[in-house]
Amino acid sequence: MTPDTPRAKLRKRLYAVAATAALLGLADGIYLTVEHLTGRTAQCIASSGCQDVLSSKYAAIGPVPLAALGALAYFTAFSTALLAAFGHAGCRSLFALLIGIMFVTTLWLLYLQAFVLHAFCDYCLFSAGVTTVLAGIAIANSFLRQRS
Amino acid sequence: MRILLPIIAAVLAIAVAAGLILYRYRMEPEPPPATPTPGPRPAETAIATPLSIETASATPIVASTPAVSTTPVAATPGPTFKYGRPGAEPPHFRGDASAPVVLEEFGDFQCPPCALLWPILEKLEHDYEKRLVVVFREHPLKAHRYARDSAWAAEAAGLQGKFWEMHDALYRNRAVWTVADYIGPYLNEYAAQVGLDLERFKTDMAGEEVAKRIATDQDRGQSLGVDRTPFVFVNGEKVPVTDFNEKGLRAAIDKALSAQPQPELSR
Repeated sequence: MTPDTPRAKLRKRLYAVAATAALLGLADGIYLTVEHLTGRTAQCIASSGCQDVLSSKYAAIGPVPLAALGALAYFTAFSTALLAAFGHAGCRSLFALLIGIMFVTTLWLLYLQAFVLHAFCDYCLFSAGVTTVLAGIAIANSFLRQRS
Repeated sequence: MRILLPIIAAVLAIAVAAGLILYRYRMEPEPPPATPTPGPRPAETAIATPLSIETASATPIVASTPAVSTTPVAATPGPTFKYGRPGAEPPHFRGDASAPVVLEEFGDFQCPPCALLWPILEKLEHDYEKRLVVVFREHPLKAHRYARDSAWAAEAAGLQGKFWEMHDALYRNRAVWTVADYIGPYLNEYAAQVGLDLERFKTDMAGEEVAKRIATDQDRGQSLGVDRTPFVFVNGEKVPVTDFNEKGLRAAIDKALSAQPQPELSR
């Protein structure tokens, strides 16, 4: 077994950070899903728009809460990041693709909050932050792979 | 690689278990608010919660006659609207139909901000008296588990001239029925409390008249760009979400009042 190059080690560490960040996103998604399914609305801590955002028609696609889809996406991101960290080549592409979709969705949701609902939700902003971190890692890893 | 799969499976199991535990915890009934509704309460009677599983709270939930309440009978004409597609006619309104200011709310009985708005509107109705009429339009959101049932119940009560009584009962007891496993017994209990003919209520709940009224209100809401609840218009002007408080709504009402043509002074 050949030792990892410094660049490969850095990539592994970035994937490990991504897996950890995805777990935070998963926890956020599960919490919002449960709140939705129990007919409650999470109370904001820093902002004041949680009720407006989480009660809006954009909070669910048919009977499925958007937060549940988010939790599923974060779980998949966690799994692919973990596998990629241990050298599964196929998972690197899957991770990058998934994070790309999640990031575009995040931008759309931020647009809805800012320009349609005129209200922001802490938990949604936290999720947006996590996805942005994941997107940064995906871009950094892609850059490191091209350079190696 | 094989060692990773148990880790992933464990994370999945922990996530599902955490979700289930949180779900069960959140399904515990909320204690009722200390002050269910503001304003004077001339007649108060205790409502017994219908299911034993939901009776954990010791404080009785209080029902009362609203301070300012006009339950329109089916033939009572309501205020007229010159904006958007028509909603259900006659609309459910409280106050004088010919009042200079019409506050129209699109609401969902399970929506938390709608429940927060309810006592504020009652206070405004009381304070503005004949200068303000408040209209409620149904806009049940799919996101809420019992929004549909509660809207249907309120409309079925409306067919017996008791819409506002059911409206108030639903908001007052929101903390109870929103976390129930089945809403049916609660709706029947509230129907009995407000004095409805229960058999007719159950029939109307499944009837076309109720469905038609709600669909018509939703169609009106759609024509006005209603995409969440509550959504409030004052004389056709959309009130921003940030003004869904007493101060903001008073400002909107006062502005609408000041825009009314003033009677000419006789010399």
